[in-house]
Amino acid sequence: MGRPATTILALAAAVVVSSAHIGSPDAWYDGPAGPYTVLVHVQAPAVVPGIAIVNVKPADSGIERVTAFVNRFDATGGAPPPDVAAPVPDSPGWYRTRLWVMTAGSNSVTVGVTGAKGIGTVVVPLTAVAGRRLTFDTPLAALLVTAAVVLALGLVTIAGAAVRESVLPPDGEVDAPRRRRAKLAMARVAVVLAIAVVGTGAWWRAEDRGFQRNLFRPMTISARVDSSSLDFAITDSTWVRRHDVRWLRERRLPQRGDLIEDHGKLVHLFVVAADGRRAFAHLHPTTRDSVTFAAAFPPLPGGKYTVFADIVQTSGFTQTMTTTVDVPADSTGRAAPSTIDPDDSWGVGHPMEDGRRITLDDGTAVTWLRDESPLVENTEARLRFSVSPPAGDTASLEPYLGMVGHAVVVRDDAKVFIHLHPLGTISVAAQARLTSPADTTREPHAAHSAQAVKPAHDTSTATGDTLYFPYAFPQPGNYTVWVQFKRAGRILTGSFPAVVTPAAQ
Amino acid sequence: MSTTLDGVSVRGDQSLAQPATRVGQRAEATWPLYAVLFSSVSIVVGLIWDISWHRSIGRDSFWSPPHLLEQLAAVVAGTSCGWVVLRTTFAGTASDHARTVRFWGFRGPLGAWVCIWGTLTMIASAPFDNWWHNAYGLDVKIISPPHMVLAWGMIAIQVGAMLMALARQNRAEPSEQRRLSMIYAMSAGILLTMHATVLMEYAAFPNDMHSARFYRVTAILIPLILVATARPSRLRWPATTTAAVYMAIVLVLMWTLQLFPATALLAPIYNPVTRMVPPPFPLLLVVPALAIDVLLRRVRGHDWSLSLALGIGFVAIMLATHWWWGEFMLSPAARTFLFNADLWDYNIKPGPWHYEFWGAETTVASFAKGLGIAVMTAVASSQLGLWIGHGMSRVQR
Repeated sequence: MGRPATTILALAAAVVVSSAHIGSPDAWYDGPAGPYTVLVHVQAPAVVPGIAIVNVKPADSGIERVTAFVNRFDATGGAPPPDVAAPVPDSPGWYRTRLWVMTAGSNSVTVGVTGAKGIGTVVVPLTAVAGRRLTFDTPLAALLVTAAVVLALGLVTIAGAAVRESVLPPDGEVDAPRRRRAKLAMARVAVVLAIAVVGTGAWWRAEDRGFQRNLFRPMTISARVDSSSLDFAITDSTWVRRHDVRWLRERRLPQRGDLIEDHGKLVHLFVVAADGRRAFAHLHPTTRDSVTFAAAFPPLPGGKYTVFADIVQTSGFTQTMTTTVDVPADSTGRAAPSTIDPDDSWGVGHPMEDGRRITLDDGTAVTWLRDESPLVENTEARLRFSVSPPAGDTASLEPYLGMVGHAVVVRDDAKVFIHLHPLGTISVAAQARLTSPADTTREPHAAHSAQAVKPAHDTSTATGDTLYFPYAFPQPGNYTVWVQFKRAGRILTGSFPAVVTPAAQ
Repeated sequence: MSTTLDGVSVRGDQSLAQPATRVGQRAEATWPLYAVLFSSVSIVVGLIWDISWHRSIGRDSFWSPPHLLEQLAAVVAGTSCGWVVLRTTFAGTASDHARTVRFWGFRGPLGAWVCIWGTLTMIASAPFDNWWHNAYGLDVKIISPPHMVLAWGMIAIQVGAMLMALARQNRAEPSEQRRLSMIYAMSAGILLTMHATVLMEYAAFPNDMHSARFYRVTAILIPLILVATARPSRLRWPATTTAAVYMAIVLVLMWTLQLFPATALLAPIYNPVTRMVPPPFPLLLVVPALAIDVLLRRVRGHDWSLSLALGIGFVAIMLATHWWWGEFMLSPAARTFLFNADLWDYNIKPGPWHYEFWGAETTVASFAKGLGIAVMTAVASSQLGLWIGHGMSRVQR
């Protein structure tokens, strides 16, 4: 999606500093919408209330109409009527509309497609939070300051005219005492204006402080790794005291919903080396109280790591919590703990061959199918990988945690992180939560099961499988893309470096 | 339009009469006064309509009908007053100049300058408001700095309309004074409506009426507006007329808006509305206004003693009327077309809180303390109103 990305997302001039998914607020979905297959990209609003830009590309022909509407997880009075998405000029196949997102939190975008096969809809979860603070640009500031000065001078002049002349009868003359009184009035109004400006400034700053206080921040966590286990805890007081209704009410805090399983796990924990080495683990800690969690820790090289913990709450709200952890050096070389979750996986970087290909431990070759053109921020990232088994091995890909593949995109400074599937950035659990069970035209879990076996945009070839992850790098920088899949009962992990350049202004 | 010498008829005579009229007498065009009165009422109708739009439909744009009405109001006020200024400055007679004040080399009535200032302020608020929406979210609050800049522009146009009517009233022959005083009272009523609308978040719903905050908030500017506009008026019941105009505007809009179908276009929808959600029933301001008229007429002596009586009387009567009025309006008896109780925004969650008083003090002492602050506020507001009213009573240009 070259043009929609470059034209639509160029509007996002402001720097995104936080989102529910770290540095990556947009939602991507690639999958079924009833009988159709659609690629959906929802550009999340930077503030709420704000505008979400919804881009839809149906894979089928004969499409008559594409619609979309936003709703919130707890709306009890129905949904607003859908907006009709218009074809995007110069981007064949793409449809676009702009939707207002009025309330922060767990929202959804319901996309409807009408065509030769009838009507199909799909719910795309959208976690909308205020993620950044806009600053004034110089031309606008100059314009407003000029207007303020002119208006202030005008008001002072009006005050002077009011005292000097307005009370005179038509045949009256302005005398010296009246002129003096007019000047005094002008001085008084100037003082009042100055006080008003100072007061408005204080008010503005107070509003700004309040806004910044309410900017979304992921819940705080702490983590610790010893020789063979990882312990982490959600230390955020709004979580620890989430059942203390009085405490929350006193602080005007909303009550947080419990955790729900996504791909059968309460938490998906990613541990990524933070010091330039390429080492990675995808773990699934368990808990008894939803506050403290523990997992067996695999044998990874010692050093500093960044921890990312993906969770989903009952509202469908998803977020990634993060912290850092030091892994002791003696972790290297030891065997994996016997208690480790069979769905846990880990790996270290493999040398690149031909700049595009790596060979994994079992001989499987993974090739990033991209051309020579540079990766550009906010442009579809072309995360398409071919998986070629070793000679003589005919095993195909198997579902891993319900998906045919997983990818983790992390910028080297850990300011951008996202966990992807061929289905996109969305959480399957959130989608199920936000899809009305009464709406039989929608496709909840059943569709995802099919997706898990054969993704809509995946293609099988004689020499292996292809994985596609819909996504656009949200910011320039140096990234690592970790790709995971399962073959012959073994979870395999590989990594690819990616340099993302800024979009042309 | 003017029945004597409006802009059109003057132009008809200009080719022959211009040299004589330049130095002689020329009747004052009346249409600019009606134009700014139209702007003034359009602004407040547009504002109330816009709020109803946000409560019923939600989604709007720069081109929504209420916005267009407000923009039209600004254009009409700005262009008509601009025309008055240019005509007076470059083609005005000596008598025209004698009815105007000087501003940066130009001449125009004081009210016209205030209207022009208001128009420019409304225009200047647009980019600020747009930035605010991008920075902090779309229309999160009614009362925000850019909305207040816009409100000041709107209020200036309404004050300008009042000043234009007032200057004419103060110069008029006795036979013309009643008509001009009514126009002045109407323009003052529109200003009061504007102020009451801005207060909607704090003092409009019956649920607020058992809280001291309701009385504190209403005591800040309502006494000032009623007293200041009553003092220069030549009507027998000026404050009452002003309050009646306010109540009439809100009632007409309240009864009219809910006749139109509406569907919420934004989520979340908790209350699926089918018709426009109108403004709540107006505050019963004719009652304290009646007291203000009586006190202004009866109490003699220094302004401070008068303002003390006005302030105490205002809060006491507001309490006496709205305490019980709030209880009635929360009862099932008020849930009718006539009283418009129990009509809520599309995004308001239903619940028993709709029928409860909000923010009511838990002790008599805290309520009494709040009322005490309200009385002190109302006294100061009344005193300021007397002072401003005194100045306004002398405006002639």
